[in-house]
Amino acid sequence: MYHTKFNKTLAAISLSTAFLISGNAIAGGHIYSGFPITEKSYTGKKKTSVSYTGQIARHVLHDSLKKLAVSGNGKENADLKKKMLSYYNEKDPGRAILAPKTKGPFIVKQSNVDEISKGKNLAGKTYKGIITGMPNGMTGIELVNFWIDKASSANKGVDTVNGYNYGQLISKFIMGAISYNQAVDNYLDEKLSADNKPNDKPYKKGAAYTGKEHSWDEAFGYFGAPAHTLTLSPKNVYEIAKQGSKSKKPEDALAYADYNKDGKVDLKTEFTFGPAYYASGFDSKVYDKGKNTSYLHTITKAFLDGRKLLTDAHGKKLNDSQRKILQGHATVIEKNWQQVLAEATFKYAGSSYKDMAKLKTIIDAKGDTSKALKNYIKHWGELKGFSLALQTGKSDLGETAKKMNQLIGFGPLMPNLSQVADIDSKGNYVRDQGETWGGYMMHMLKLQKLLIAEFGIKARNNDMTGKMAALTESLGEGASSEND
Amino acid sequence: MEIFTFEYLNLVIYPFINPQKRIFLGYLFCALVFAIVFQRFILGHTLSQSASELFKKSIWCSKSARKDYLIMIINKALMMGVAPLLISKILVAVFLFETMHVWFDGRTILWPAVPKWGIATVFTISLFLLDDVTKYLVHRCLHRFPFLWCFHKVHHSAEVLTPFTVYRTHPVEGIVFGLRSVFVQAIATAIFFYFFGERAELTTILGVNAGLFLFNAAGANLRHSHVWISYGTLIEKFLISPAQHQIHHSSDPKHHDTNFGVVLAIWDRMGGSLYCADSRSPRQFGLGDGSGQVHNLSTIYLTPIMEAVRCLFWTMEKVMKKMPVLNMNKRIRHSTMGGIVLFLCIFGFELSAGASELNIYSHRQPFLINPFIEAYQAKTGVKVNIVYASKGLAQRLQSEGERSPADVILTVDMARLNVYLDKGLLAPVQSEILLKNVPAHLRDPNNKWFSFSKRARVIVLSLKSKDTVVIKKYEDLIDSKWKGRICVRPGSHVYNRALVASLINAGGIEFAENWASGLIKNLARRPQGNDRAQVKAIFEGVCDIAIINNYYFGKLKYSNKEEQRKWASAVQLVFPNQKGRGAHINISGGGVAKHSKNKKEAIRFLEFLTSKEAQNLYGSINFEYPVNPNVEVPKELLSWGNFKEDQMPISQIAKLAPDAQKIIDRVGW
Repeated sequence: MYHTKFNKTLAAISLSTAFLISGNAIAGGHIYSGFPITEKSYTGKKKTSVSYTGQIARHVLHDSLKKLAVSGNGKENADLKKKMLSYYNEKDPGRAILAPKTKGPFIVKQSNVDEISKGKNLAGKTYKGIITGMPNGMTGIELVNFWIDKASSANKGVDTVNGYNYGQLISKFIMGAISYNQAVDNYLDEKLSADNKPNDKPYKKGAAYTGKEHSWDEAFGYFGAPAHTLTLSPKNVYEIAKQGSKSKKPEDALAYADYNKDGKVDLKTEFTFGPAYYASGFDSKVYDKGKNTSYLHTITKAFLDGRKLLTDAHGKKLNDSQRKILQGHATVIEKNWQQVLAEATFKYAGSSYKDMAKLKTIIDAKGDTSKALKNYIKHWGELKGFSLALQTGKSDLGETAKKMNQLIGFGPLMPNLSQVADIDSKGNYVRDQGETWGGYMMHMLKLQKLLIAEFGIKARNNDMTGKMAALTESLGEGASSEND
Repeated sequence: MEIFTFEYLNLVIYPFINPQKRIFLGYLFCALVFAIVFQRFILGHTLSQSASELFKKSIWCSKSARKDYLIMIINKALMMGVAPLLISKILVAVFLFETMHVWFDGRTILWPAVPKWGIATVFTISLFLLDDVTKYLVHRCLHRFPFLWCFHKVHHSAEVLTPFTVYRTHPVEGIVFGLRSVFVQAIATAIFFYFFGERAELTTILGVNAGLFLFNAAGANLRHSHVWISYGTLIEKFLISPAQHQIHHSSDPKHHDTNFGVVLAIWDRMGGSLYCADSRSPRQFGLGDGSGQVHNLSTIYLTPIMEAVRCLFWTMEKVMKKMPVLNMNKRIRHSTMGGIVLFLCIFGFELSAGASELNIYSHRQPFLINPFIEAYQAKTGVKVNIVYASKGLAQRLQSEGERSPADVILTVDMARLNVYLDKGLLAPVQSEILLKNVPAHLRDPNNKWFSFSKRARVIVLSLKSKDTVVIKKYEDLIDSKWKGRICVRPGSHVYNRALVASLINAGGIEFAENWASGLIKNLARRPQGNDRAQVKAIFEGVCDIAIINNYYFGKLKYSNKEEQRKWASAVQLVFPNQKGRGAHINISGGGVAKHSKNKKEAIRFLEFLTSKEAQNLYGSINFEYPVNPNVEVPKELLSWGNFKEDQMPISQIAKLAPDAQKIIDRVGW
């Protein structure tokens, strides 16, 4: 008995040591940090050229804003609105980090936004184009402000009459309208051109990084992956975002996140934020048994390879061949990131569909729909938020966006068959009789088909027709050439 | 080429190693064991006797059997090309699955408490039965219809039967059976997945439908063999024995068109084609022509096509002979004249259209608005372009901004007009004609929109329920004696919201809320469907009372669908509140687009819509009432009864709409 125990302990120690050794060996070239300063004009004391704290601050502002969006009590609340706006529009000093915060053994190093980066807001970086998926041709900034206004007077951020969950709408939309848009349409697009932010000049006067280095770092920051992502499995990265609530032992998440082993999670480099969280979720199949994907590692590796290329340029202007390779990495990032957003839209179209089926069953049985309705509104909010996020990328989605918006509508079809059809000049929702229940469920199915056709997504979580197609496929081929 | 050869060889070998196929080696072995056991224990043969009987050279090496082998090899190559062209079963299944959401208005998962294995068992059995019955039906059709028989007789031309005869099939028949399989599998999976979700799963043995596996493992290959195994009359009424299928292949005329079934005999029993096995096997298989020509490859592959074409021609000839003879000269004359008239119309119109052009954004359906446009074009020569959409036109106009080509906006209901007004998309209009033709309460105080027709929100009563005749006003509907007898569409629809707004206008918020709440308590079903659906519900006996717009009654009454005319004949109209404020009315209306480049023409068109000519059209096309007080109400509408209308300013409806919506939400309408 004792012998067996001893053997098991020995085996465990050996395995852990092997993992640590190999982990360190891999980590050598797999961490997005510590890249040396190549900018010749720099005279300061910094040791590394990597910097993306502004982006992390925005992730934190976003997470905190989401937290505030679900804290209303159903009455008009000017204070709450002001507070939300201070996280969105303003650059106020001293703003506390409302999320992510320390949770059990998962100790978060920072408690104030300024500890990460000072003077940052979200509005300045929000997509400035028109959001055609909502009424009145609002820009991205106007839309978030409109939702903030509504959220501040909603009960826990939820409007059960019109069917909106503002926390989800704001959060998911921002994941596209800020993170995705800034990364793929700005830093990895315009700023990769030859004369914009060149690599032989500092990003700004006195900076420790070149124009291209910092552009690249900022894009990476918006992705929101821990710097040591490539040393972790997607599941580990997912668990970090969940701060231990989805780990076997809560302290496991800390162990995955705490790369420098100081016992705390440094939000600047060790935490998982929105976009990376979803990528890790699809890759680790935590939402649904989807097909294999590797969005997280593909995107992170492309970022890392691009950064290595920039470091190897030693502060010189990139030649055409180097720029082409860098743009290749940018394309990989853009395509995979777009697919992550499309996967999320797909997943929530499936969730909304399932919720509608559940609601119909409850309504037919004359049961209590309140819980199922809340889930439906939540999932629809995620669906709408992600679908709008998907439309804020580098390229205009044209007809695809139009179809997507038509299928989803301005609001969910409510059990009383009403649906928001417009927003009037005073900001009131105007409703009308919507589709039939079955018709709107079919919209969700058609949306899933559209997303498969247009984005070639693979994980396909909550694939409603896919499961039926798999059943049909499992029946085997018919006897086409057999005869009786 | 190498890939093709490899794929092809795979395809030829595949049936021997795939348990889904009849000639899977395992099934062939089972058949052999069955045959030996049967001959040993029933017929008393020795093993060597059995061996020489079962592997007789005259059977396996016969001309007929050799052709079976060759056909199998050729067909595999042909199907490689054809199979990808067949419609995908997944496509059909998905289409059905989606459409079922519309048929059943959503999706309710049935029997949620039944475990997965229970549903899987039901699914497997259902699929097996559906598969078997459709094989029977298709097989019967192959014999019944001469066109199909041309192809199926290739299979029946086999003069000896071996398990490989199952592949002696013309490719066209292969396609027919392929399509059958596509539809059976698609229908079964769509239905089961729709009602039972992911619990629908196939119960399999070696990856094959358990029922089919058992059938094949139980010696199905002996159906195409010379081993005469009968199950006895009693069992053969339920299961098709190998002997029964051999009878099906018999060249004896008395055996023709019998035993079409594959596994179950019940279909043949139902169809009157069951033939239980005799004591001895048929003397001869095949078509009985004895010429030997049937084994030529050209006879097998080309002759059926030629015969089928001939068969089609005969059929067409027969049909055409029955058609009435036309006077071709007269027809040509008419066509020529028609063509000239059409040309003149188009050419003449094009000439006149050059003068001016008008762009209309319309929420009103084309069939409703086209007669007005045609009349206007005929009168003025102005070319009118129309953009129709039931939703999203205001958003479109808004996003187009100053670049918008729209001149005129046409819509229905005050709430929808108000959307344009609220977004500042309408231009003020100066027109004495419009002021004269449209009463003040039916136009915008700032002259940005005008009503062109009125529609009353009426109560309809079942002609069968005599007690409802006491209903004279909207307020009567909340009497508890009508509990479970009223049908109405969802409250958030603009028509109902406008009605609630009119009640707020009449008696205040509390009054309107009491009414709405009382109405909900009396509903026979959840609010659903459109106004027509409410009349249909009365016809079907779901309820006795409903609220609809008056013109739907006219549309149903004069529908070209008999079914809809029946719905209308089941109800009578009541114009509510005739002794009080009058019946609530709503409007169709429109205005001039703010950024119209042709405002003058746009106003002229609006004026035309209030003219006597156009006002009459509203009545004759869509059973709506004229707004112009100088235009008489059409006779048909008068026959339903003249009525007094609620004179509240129609713009008030838009103002009260938000309060009305709150009431609707509070009472859960």
